[in-house]
Amino acid sequence: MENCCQASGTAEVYTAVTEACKQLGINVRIKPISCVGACNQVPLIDVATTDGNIYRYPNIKPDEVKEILLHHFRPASKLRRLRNAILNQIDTFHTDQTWDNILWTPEKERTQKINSFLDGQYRISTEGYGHLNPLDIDEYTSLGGFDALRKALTEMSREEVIDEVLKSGIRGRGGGGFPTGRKWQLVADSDSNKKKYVICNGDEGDPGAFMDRILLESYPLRVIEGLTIAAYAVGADEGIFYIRAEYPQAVIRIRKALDMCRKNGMLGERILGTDFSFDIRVFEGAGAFVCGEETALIASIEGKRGFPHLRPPYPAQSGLFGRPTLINNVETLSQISYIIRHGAEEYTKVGTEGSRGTKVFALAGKVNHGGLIEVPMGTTLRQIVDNIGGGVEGGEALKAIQTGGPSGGCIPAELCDAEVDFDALNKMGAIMGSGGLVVLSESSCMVDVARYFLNFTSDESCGKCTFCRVGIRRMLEILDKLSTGNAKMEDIDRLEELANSIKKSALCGLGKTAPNPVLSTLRYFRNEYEEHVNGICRTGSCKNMVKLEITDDCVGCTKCARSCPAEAIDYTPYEKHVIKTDKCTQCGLCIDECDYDAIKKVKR
Amino acid sequence: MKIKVNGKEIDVTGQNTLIEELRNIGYDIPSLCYDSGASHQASCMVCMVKNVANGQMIPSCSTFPQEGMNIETDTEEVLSLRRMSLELLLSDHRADCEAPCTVVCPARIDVAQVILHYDRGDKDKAYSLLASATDIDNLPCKDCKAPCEKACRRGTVDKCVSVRDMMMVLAEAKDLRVVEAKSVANVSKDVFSSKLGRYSDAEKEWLKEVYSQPSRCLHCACEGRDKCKLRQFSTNAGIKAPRYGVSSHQIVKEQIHVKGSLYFEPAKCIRCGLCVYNTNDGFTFKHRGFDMQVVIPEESKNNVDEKIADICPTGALFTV
Ligand SMILES: Cc1cc2nc3c(=O)[nH]c(=O)nc-3n(C[C@H](O)[C@H](O)[C@H](O)COP(=O)(O)O)c2cc1C
Ligand code: SF4
Ligand code: SF4
Ligand code: SF4
Ligand code: FES
Repeated sequence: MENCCQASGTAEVYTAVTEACKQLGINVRIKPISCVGACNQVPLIDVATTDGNIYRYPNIKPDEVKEILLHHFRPASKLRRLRNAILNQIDTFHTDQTWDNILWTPEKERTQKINSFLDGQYRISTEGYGHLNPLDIDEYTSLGGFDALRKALTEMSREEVIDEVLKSGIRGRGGGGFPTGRKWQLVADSDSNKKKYVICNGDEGDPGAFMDRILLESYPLRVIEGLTIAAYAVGADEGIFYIRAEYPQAVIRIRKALDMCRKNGMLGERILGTDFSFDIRVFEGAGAFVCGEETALIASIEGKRGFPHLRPPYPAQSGLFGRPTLINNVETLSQISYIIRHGAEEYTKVGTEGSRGTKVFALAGKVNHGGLIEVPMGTTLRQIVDNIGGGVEGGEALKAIQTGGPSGGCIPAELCDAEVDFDALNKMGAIMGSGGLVVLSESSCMVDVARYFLNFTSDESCGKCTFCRVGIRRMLEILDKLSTGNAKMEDIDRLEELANSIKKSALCGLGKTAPNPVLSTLRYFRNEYEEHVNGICRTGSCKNMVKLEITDDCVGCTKCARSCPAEAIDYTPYEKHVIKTDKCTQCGLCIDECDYDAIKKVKR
Repeated sequence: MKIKVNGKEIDVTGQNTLIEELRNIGYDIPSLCYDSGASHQASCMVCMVKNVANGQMIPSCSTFPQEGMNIETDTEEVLSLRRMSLELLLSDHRADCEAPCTVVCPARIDVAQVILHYDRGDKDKAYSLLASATDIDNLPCKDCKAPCEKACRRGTVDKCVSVRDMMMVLAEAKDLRVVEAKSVANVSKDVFSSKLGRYSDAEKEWLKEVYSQPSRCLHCACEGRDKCKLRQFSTNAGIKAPRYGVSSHQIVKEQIHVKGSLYFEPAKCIRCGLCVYNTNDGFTFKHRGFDMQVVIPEESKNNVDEKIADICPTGALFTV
């Protein structure tokens, strides 16, 4: 029951369940659980019966709750039930037809849709998915939680912990893919007389991304455990959760979880009775995308303006307040306890040679089942779309997959058999990024996609450097020209020149990667850019580019006017009709309707 | 420590930034957002060099030499990227280096400067400048077709400034003293000149309201042009006109009085940040993205020293 889930009505359903149980006198344990990832299926209830079966009801509404409960549980007494039925006349009799979205078929079939979503996933960061209560420290402990911390603190030296992480091959999930063990080593090796910091980067500003928020909200204890192990390994005594202020639920959960850890001796003085002392505080970030960049993040904690600065010096040498600082992403840290608990060898069994472990993605776009997924590295992009995502929405053909959000690129369908792997994605001009994965179908316009992301980076650049502040804006202007049909062929070359120059010359990661959406679409879909110069947007997404016009072939039959849902066609029978461009939504219904082929898309 | 620069090995201590080392051995590396001795953060990128060892373009003003570096300072790749950074800055720079009237004057009178002195109430200076440029008793303006008036930007707002009449009145005012007055105009074709372009309708209204002194002159010429590095480096880079259409969110010709003789004209600011990092609680940044601006809050004006104009690499901060 995360923030987004509550927005879909989970909270209301929770209240309804609680009340219905009271009302019906049913004695069950009601447990709010962590994110199940299946965003288009929520609110969702699992009913676990004493015979060990689990029945799952997706997409329910509060008024359906009672019926579900009655289906499974006997109310306290027949009498009470009778009274209830009389008191509450609108209680429907539960038949198989009552719910259009719940199928009263055996559990296996009924949840098949969800199961195919779950098959092929592998849970490390989201272990305990679907049954773990985020803030139940006893439950977390009983499932192996804090074993890793105990093992690290009592059985392993700092060097051994770092060594284990090095051997696991895990690379940072915040976007860059830097080997985590090496980063820990650097911080551990830097001046040991100085105070050191560890920071968990929970800024997550990519549009559409919510992986880290879910991890913070659903598995706060796991992330805390990871950060504490990191602190032990590098010799830090203060930790900071940098969480964007727009994630209030994550902030609350992490704060509560931190309190629990302190009470249970997992944080504070002499953790677990060892001589390692460490504590963590929460810093709420103001929410600029650029503050996710590590040097800007540090500046922001120091109370300065969120400007990135040139590296070197890296935070590992001189970070927060000039002290050696380890910054890791939420997801990176959430994999640490698994590595320590099961050993690096076990971890390396998952994933590919160059990219170990799993990756959490926010699967979105034109896909049947979107949501939060965790897959082993090495899964192909096509498997993700077809098997987990249930294919492209509306049965359309896959055109491309966009990974890495505003810093990433589009991978065309013919390359989607590529594996999820840092290096493989880089080679194709995309990046792993922090985990946005957007499915694009044949009805997606690639110029429009590129424009969307550049619009974002143009606003979100910190504005300090020339190439980023002005250069991206100039790129955006060319894209605007393209999408309104006002560009010339030379503009595409200028766009490319700008993109390559910005990529080379920008100071920080934001600027260096901002041209990627353009470069990758130019690389694979240059013909679409050229079409736009010629005034064609084949998908019709660039609506400002064309207008519909009725030609002289019109016989004045009025059929088009009657089909137009926007009432944008002026007509006098037997005279040529006219389309009012300002009202027309370019749905194209009239084109299909006209028997004389008299309606054409023309350049504005 | 040894590093390579353009193929030659040089000895460096590692204590100075690359730009200092390079300048020490005679390379002329431009810099806008860096001024030796002042606090700064790399932003303009005109000081870029390439480290061939890792293929990266780096701002030399903020990078310290490292073992194994192999620096290129003047390959076409480096020079064209530096040029592009200047062009991008100029595309967000709606300002005239020189006033159009001065540029077209066949008698080479610094018309704009004469009017500026006149409007500021320094008639002696106005007179002297005019006298230094022409034969004041035989003023060429008398028989001139006055291209200055045709070029006058005020003409695109409502009506041009009556330049000729003004010059003649000045020439005849024999009671004025001759004082030291020099023109800083440089209308040579070899020197880069930023051009403002057209005013929007809203800007015209605004200009009418703000520039309402008797002459109605808009004082197009940039008052910081004698010290402007942006113009100097653009000239060195061979830029004639920016390749990118000029568009900016800054208000054109807005001159904010900061303190004493110090003025701030945001439309000319390249957001290098030098004035921000080198005043205490003075200039500050506002907004982000393309909208990012440098501003001077009213309550901070007193915290600024007039000398700050010296480190501003453009005419955005100037003293009168
Ligand atoms: C513009 C920009 C935004 C970033 N945003 C995030 C973010 O939201 N979360 C994150 O963990 N890393 C982000 N990063 C990457 C961080 O700078 C840093 O590399 C990362 O937190 C390191 O953690 P890791 O090694 O575990 O990946 C961003 C980088 C850039 C350039
Ligand atoms: S490259 Fe862009 S985001 Fe990065 S520091 Fe420069 S202006 Fe800011
Ligand atoms: S600031 Fe420099 S480039 Fe701009 S108008 Fe003034 S002199 Fe010209
Ligand atoms: S006013 Fe001058 S010093 Fe200040 S940021 Fe602008 S250009 Fe730089
Ligand atoms: S002078 Fe080096 S970045 Fe501006």
